[in-house]
Amino acid sequence: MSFDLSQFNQLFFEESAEHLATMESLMLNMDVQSPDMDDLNAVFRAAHSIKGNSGTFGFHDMTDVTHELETLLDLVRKGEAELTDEMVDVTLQAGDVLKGLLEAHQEGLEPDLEPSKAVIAELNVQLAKAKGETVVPSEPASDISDRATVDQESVGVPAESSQTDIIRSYLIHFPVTDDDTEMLFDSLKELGELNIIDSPENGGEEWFFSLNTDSAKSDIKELLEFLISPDGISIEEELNADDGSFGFFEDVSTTTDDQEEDPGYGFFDDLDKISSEAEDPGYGFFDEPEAPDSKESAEEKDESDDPGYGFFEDIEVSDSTEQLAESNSDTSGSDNDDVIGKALTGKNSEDTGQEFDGYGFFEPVDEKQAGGESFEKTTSKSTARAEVTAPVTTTTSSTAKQSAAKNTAQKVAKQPQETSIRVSVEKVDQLINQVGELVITQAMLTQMASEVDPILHEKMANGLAQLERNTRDLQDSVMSIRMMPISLVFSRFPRVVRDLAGKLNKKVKLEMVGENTELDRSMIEKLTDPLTHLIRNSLDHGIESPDKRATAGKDVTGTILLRASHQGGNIVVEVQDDGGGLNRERILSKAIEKGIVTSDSIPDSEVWQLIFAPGFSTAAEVTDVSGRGVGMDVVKKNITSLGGRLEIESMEGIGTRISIRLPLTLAILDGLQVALGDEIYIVPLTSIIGSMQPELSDIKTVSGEGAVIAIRDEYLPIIRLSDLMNMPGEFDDFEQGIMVILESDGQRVALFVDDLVGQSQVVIKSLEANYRKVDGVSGATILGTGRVALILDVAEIISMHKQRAKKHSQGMLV
Amino acid sequence: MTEQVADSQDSDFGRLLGQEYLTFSLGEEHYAVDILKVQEIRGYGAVTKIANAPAFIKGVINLRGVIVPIIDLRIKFNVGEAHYDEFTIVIVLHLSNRVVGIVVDGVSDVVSLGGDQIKNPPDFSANFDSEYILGLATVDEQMLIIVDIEKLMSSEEMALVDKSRMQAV
Repeated sequence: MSFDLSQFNQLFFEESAEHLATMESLMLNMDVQSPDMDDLNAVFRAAHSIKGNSGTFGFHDMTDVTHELETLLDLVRKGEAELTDEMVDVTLQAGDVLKGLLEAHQEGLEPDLEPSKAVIAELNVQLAKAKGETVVPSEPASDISDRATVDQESVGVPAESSQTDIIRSYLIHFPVTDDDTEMLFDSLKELGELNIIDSPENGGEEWFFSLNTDSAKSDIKELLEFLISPDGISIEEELNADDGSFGFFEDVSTTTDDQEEDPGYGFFDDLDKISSEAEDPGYGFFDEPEAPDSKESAEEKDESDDPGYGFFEDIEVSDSTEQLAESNSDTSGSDNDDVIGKALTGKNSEDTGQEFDGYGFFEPVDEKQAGGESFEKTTSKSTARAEVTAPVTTTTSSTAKQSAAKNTAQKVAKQPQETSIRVSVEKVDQLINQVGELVITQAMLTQMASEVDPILHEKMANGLAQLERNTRDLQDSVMSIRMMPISLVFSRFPRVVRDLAGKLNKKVKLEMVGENTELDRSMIEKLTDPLTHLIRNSLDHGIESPDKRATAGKDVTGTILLRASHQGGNIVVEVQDDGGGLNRERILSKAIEKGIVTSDSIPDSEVWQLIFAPGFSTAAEVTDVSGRGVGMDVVKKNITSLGGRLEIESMEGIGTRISIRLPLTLAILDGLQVALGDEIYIVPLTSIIGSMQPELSDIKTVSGEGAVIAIRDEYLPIIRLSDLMNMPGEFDDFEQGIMVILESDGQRVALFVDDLVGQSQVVIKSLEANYRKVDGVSGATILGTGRVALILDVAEIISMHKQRAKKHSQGMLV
Repeated sequence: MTEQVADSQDSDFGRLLGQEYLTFSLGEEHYAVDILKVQEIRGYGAVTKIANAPAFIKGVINLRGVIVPIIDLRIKFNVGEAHYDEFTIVIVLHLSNRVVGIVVDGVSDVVSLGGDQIKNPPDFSANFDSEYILGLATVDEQMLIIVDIEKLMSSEEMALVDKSRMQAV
């Protein structure tokens, strides 16, 4: 049921980067004494957007930071707290951290969460200050990191843990189970920090995860056995569980991913872990100054003003650890020293708040060196460096090697690449218009060229043929700019299905095919509601309850298939279920009762269409028994307004398939050109049933006035386009012209025109942009000749005709 | 009415000072419009008729991909003869929210008129309300009628704008 949002990640990255830039520039210009409310609101909105988006995209580490930031900003925004310099600083830091996380995600790496935790802690400090409370330790940070680690799954993410209790680390295995593991994990998360190492979803054969908690082993066992079957559960206590004495290292060691490989060698393991942790952006060491003692904040501010600082952070964040190693020039060294010094202070400040005296730094590094095999890789490059920085830089350079070996591709991509640009829709539309113009010009040239001797002007003919090809290609490319994959709509349905299935106690799995089918963006937005409705209907009324399914000999789990594909010039979206199918008798009897149909001998396909009749579907009896519920008429209306058609196939006991047939884009319409006098009109192909040359014997008059035409046992009213448009037609005689049979909202009419010119795809242009709405016309287009042709609105034509008929009969009565 | 015009002239004094106008003729009358509202001048042709539109709305044309309505001011103001040939001229106006083409008998000149050259129009009965006349001016012993083309074209009697949209504007 999981689906891939990652294809939209790029969009998220760009948007978030924009939000961050906005936030930063606003914050930098903020007058602390009298902040501008609009600016504050804008900053808040930016943070809020990032929070929302990152949550959606599953980057919970970013959500966590922005959540705290938002809380703080909200206080200021509401005037409940005064804006202080510290707040501005911490906001900027948070922005930097977010930028780091963002870039790490963008590179496809696991971000280092240290700086975000630090900044969350700092945000909490500011929050507490703002509320006038005393400074509290970073309690919220720990549960936030819990969440983050779970989401990161199986990655060695360092986590904060409370220093007071003795934390044990357990490794828990249990086999794949049908039981509700989600609930289990929720409960485990309450106990402590959960880190999934292997799960069936990842292809493993069993659940395997580590848990850091202060609870006793027996408690965990009890919990597990309560929630899942006790067979095969194993809980081991980790030997290298931290004992609180390692300070810096403990966090890292407790949650690392490959502990299970070598649980006994806590020490070396730790080091590996550190390396692998650093292998994330590797900036864990550097970014720590984001959580300084408040004492340092003044200095801190200087630092954020320092352009060199921003530079270093950027490099590290972007995962180009290699670059970092390279950049260990002497000049940058001093910056690094400074940063590192603070980094460690920041780290230590958490528990002791001690000032930087080098202690916090040297201790862990020495230990690292003692145990660090990886230090043999130390490059000589940094040996001349100051003692303080050398170990750290070697660490990063060696990790750079590791990461480079791991992923050579990333070596190339040192800087995050811009893979797309954001352009306003206006500009795209302008481009499309201009290309449309080009196509028309090209068509005109071709037309002119056809009048000259092709043998004498062979070269010109060749040139024009090439021009035609090129313009078509150009048009296709330009049109594709507006195209988006339909997965934008599809992606929300797994959730809809899951939630609704749970609510209805049904077992349903959703399959999606052809998510990459592209269609016009504006159409995608309008497709969401009808599709949601259809899927809900399938779930609610189509798929039977598990019991029923079992009795019917079907798989207990129902399937809803969502499929999108190109068929000709159309997009076809199908919603198919293997449920009970529609019940013909029920629908028919209901329809007869409502007076919609009179005969019960109509074909199935027409019976199914009845469920789209307005008011029909609201009947509870029908929805209970056979399916399809409230608002199918709305679905139909929406689809029709998109120029689409709905088709239903259903078989009792087997299932139902509803197909939506849509034009590729809203900007293009498949139309039939009909002639009336000198003018050409476009009739949308979707509303045409057929056309015919009428025989006089088929045409009857009613009371000598209104004419009808008999087609397949049906009398259709005849509408003369010339009357409707108030234009003279070429023919007055029905026999000489053509009847085009149109249908809209289940009503059929025959439109009398002079001639059929041909079928073509036309680009829809707005008449209303410079003019106003014209009755019976939905828009205009430009023909190959450069002339404007009006596009007929069939539904409106039919209602216009009705009104005229009414007026006419009233006139007759008077 | 005159007062209003006078007011607007005072406030728009700077605007009227030495402003350029495009003059055109309709029958024997000479009109002028703010040249900044003029997008281009082109020949008349390939007009698609629109159903149930007033007679002075000739239809719409394709102006480089934009659908532009064409109004024959000769029919609207009942001056000159409405015939169409290769010399028939369309002035394409770029108004604040729309592009409109007007058919005129001929485009004469571009003149620069200072605020003091423009006299308030007297109240008179004409085919259109003096509301749409900014003033009168004399150039080369000819009277120029300076038209507030923006106001005229968005007026209800031009039937160019939907009523609902007019209220919104």
